[in-house]
Amino acid sequence: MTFLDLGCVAPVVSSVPDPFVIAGEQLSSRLLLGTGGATSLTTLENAVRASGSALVTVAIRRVSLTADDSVLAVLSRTGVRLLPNTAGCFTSREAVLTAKLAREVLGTTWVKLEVIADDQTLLPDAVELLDAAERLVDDGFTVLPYTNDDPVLARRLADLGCAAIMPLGSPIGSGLGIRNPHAIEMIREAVDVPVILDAGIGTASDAALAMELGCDAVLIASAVTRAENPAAMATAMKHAVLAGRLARTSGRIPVRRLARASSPTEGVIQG
Amino acid sequence: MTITLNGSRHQIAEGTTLDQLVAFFALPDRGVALAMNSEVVPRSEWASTRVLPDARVEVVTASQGG
Repeated sequence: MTFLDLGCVAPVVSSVPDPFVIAGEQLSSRLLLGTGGATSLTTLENAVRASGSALVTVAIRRVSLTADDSVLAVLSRTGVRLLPNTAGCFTSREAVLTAKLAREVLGTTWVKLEVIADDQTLLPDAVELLDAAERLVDDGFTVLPYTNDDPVLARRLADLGCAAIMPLGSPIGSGLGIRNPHAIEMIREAVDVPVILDAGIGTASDAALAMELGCDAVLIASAVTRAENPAAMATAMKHAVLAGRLARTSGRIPVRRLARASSPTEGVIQG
Repeated sequence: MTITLNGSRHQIAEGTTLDQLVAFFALPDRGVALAMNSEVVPRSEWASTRVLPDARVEVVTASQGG
């Protein structure tokens, strides 16, 4: 076998089916991109294209008479599917109304449900979140809740009928990475629906770690849109997610306390 | 009568319908959604729905967001 043979991994990879499915819908990428924070729509479009993402989030905000509201036009050019969020909502009541407005605006029943507790931490308010999730599931929405890294809360959300669970790695926009990897692993074990690591990713190794921990996908916004070069960082994240997923499904070696030689122990010359 | 549209107070004529309100303020009527007093009013019902006195009307669209 030549070096080139070893290098031809792409056909082998693609021959192994590893579909990513939410609520019966297959998505072509395990990287979801948030669109907040981009300094221009051109920058955003380039980042979306570079990421290879098939599902990107948008917020729902008041129509402005002065602002250029062509984000919809830009995103529709890229062919990605849009996932509205309820960012900025502090109560179940606000989030449910925002989700219903999003359904009208975008013609989708999918919603990334965010109900936050305060402006400083942007942490999810578990009580309001559960209430909103239940109301929206009952109303026929496909609910993807942004939640704490709490396995018990994740299970409650899944039991309510949420289509995926989106635990935070660390606070939104912090770039602190995954502060409690053990909790993320426990969430993966606690629910049968997809787990999408959301919030806190700062760089490519964070995204790879999320996938290695067993997450089915990651959602990244600030780490891409606020990077010095968003399109290049989007490319890095795309590869990180692919690499992390492959590592997760390839059966990593067990961690050992001491060394284990990889070279043969027989036939060593005597000096 | 007085109403609140996207957080700003305005005087409008009584009997104004929601589609007339949207047109009067030159708001886009595509890619938007409207709620009056925290209830979504589908686009198909704008022409037949009158703006209520003291109504809080929100007209929203998609914007950049994580």
